[in-house]
Amino acid sequence: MPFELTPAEEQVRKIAREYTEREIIPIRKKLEKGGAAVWWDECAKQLVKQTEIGFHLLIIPKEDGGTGIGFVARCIAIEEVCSGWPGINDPWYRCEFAYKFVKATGGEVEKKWLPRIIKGTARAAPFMTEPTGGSDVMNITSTAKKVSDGWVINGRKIFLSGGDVDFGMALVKTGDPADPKTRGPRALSAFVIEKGMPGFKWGRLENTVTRQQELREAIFDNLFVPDSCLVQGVGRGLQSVLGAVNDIGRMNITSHLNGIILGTYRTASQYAKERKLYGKPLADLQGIQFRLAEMAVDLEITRCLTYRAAWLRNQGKRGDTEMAVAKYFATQAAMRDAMHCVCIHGTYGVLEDYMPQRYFRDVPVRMMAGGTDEAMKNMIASAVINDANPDLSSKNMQDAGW
Amino acid sequence: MDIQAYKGVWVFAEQRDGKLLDVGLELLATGRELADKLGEELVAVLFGNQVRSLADELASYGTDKVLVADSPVLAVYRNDSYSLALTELVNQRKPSIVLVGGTTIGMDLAPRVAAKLGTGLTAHAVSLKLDKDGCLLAQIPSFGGTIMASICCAKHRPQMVTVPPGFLKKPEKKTAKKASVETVKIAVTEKDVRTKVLEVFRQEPKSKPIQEAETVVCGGFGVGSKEGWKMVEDLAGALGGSVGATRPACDEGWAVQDEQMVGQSGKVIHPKLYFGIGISGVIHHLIGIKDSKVIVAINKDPKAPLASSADYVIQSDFRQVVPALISELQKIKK
Amino acid sequence: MCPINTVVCIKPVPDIRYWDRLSLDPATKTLRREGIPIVISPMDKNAIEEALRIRQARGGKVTVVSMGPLNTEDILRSAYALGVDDAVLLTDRTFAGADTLATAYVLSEGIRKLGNVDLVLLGNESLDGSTGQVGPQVAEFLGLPSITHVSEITFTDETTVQVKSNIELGFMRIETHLPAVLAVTGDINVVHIPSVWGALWATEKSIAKWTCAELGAETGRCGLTGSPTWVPEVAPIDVKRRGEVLKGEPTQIAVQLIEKLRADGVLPEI
Repeated sequence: MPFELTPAEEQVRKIAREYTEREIIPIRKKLEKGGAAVWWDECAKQLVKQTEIGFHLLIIPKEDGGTGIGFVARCIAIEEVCSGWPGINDPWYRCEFAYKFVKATGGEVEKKWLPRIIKGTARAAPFMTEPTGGSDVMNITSTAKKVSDGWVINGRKIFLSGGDVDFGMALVKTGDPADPKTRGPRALSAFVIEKGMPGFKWGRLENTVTRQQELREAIFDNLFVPDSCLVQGVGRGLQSVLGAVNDIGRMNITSHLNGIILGTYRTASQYAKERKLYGKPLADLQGIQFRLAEMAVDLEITRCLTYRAAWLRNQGKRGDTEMAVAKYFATQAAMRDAMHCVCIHGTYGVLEDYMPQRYFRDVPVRMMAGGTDEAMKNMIASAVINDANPDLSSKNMQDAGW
Repeated sequence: MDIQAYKGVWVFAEQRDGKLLDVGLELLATGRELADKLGEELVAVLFGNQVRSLADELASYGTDKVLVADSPVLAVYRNDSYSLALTELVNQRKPSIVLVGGTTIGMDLAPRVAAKLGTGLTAHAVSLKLDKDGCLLAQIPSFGGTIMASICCAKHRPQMVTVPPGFLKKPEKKTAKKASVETVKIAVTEKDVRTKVLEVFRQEPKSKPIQEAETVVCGGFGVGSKEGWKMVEDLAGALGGSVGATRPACDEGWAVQDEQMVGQSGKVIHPKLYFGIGISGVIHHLIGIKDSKVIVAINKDPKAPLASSADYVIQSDFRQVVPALISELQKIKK
Repeated sequence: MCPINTVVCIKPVPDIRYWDRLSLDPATKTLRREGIPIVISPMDKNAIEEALRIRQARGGKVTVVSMGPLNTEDILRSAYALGVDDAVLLTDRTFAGADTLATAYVLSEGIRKLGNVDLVLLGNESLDGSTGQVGPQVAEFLGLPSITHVSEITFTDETTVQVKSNIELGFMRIETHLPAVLAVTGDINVVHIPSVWGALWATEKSIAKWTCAELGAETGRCGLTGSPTWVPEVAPIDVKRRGEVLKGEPTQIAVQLIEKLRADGVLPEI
């Protein structure tokens, strides 16, 4: 595992930073004061700029028309952009999801959507969560029944992000619980569902603490999808969707949090250097210095963890546990650092004209999205208990210290 | 190059559309001082077409001689014609010093001439002195005015310098002593000129957004009223600058927050000249103005923090100082 | 229409955001620049952007040239990120300490060696020196016409350009034929944000390095030796705000203030 970024990755940081300074920082006030309408309007504008720069091409390999620079560069780009405004990379993020979905599905779906994805005009999101619980995937109730040349889907998905996307990958039940062959994960299949398909409807729009109304409901009412929309075969749904969620989704959310950590680090350290109290800069006070030191430690650790998980993906390795470790750490660190930042700013930290309160409000959403802390710990614990890694296990009870 | 053979202080007196530019007259005042110290001749050089009357006017500004090159080829400024003509004259007459006003045209002309002559050119000199050997020392501020460099052109002649307009005082017209005017012939013809001027276009300067303005007059809560605010706007108008405001002034409705609020949560500005009128100077405003070259604070309250971050502090009622300022500025304009 | 081959001269300058960290070495009387990031002088970036637009319309090659120490490579990589075709660094100890005349000489030798050049673009003035002298001087050494303060370039036929050259309170519309040197201002265009492909170009493309000998340049005209102007003295100006209190009657204060502002060089032209 290299401890240095490649020259191309360093260039990507420069490009992402220039984009953030020129395009995102100037619209902060607008985004804070405006509500959902302003957010989605701005997202449409930024999609054009982001895809012109080609951020969505970072993880797409050269064979498919991308740059192949990779996942580490992607994390860096998201981190820089989100330090400007958390989540503002959402426009290009949807193209990344779209790419992952169509590559998983192949066939007609890939042929139809890949050119548009490269151009940056196709956006997608996973359709997973149901009222039965986001973490409780096995108990979803949406169903898909086989008909002559396709499937008919019925059900409801909630808390979907990405706004008015072009298509999604929906996780539905195709298995018969009575049949032992279709039990557990084999009961689930995934389908690409396009917005225009008859029987598809957007439902309720949810407002969160960010006031960006970024969550919505999708309703499938006798929605017909052709066979070409089945992803990888019946019963292969869970690994398809979870693969996308881990690669594209979880890494993205973690990078949002890293962006918040980076943003709070920059804001707090600059403020501490300029603001005077008792005739001296705040940064002269040891209490403030300790806070800044903790923020620096968090930034260092979270980058190491996230870039490492991304680096494993670049090598074609899974890195699921490493990604879970990174996300779990990032949510905890982001919460701490957002609080440090607010405290360092005093009352200015809670005024809506300044960024500290924004960074602070943007953390909890990311605790839920891409897998909750509890879900992450489940994954990590499962690795502790089940993985056969000789480096991590003791030879026998005596060596273990019994 | 035999330096000793070069004598005389030349000032290129630019004219446009039959009017002498102030910068040439400003340079004549400094040129006079240098010529007197060196015991050499001060010469004003004038280029144009049918500019004899301007030459006569130049002659009353304390120069010893006016050299006029009067020709259709010099009617409108073009890099080739003017640089060839000036080079030709310099080679014939060998001045030791050539001063050029740093207008857009002066900055276009001087480097070309310096390259033709293979001599040194210093730009944006804010002060000119002579060293103990009689060499010209030009002082130029650099790196945003944090460093002052002295530049010298020891072994080459002429020593060329451009000086920004408006820096030096305009000399008083001396009606008593009038310089001699000499018309010179130059070898330059239209064949030598590789550019064509199709059009010279005048336009009123567009009002700049506050982040780009070179002069900003900011008002704060201390301005007190809409009537008081008008003085802030009038001062900005007299300076050709933009109007800024603090948050409280915007809250009072005197200014528009989105475009005019200056400060950490508003606009960060980098003007050459900043006025803070009736502004206390909390950190959030200071952060927005700290890159200003010169800060002038006008506030009745001696304890206002802006004073400790200002270059010039006026602890009087702005309602008296600002009208006086506007009046003095208008005198200069005339 | 035939393609246009453009050379853009770019200058490495210290990043303005860190100018407050520049310090003077009292012994050598030079600026200590270690640790200060170097960037392309902003108007030179506008020149690159304009060259790319011309390439888009007419085809041809865009080459950037810079004179500087080895670490100037970084800015040439930034130029690659913007999309230029080739980059050349003129680097040699002999070039050090150059004023604008010596710099213009070396650049012109580099352009001469490149050959097949239809247009030379550069920023009208650099961020640090801002003399605006190198453009016309490069043109003089190449024997080409030059126009400065260019805020717009239009091709009226294969090799004829019409430009807007800014003057105070207006502009001149000037026509000339290529080859020519045009010094462009910051308002000529908006430099695009590099695309991620730029990240690959910046790291994968190679930079040619030419020494004094390879250029065949006369050492006597390069660097400190070739500079008619030199700097006998550099002094820091105290950046702290002066806090000078002006007293007296309003009119007296006004007159005093105007004098001081004039001396500071910040009184606007009115």
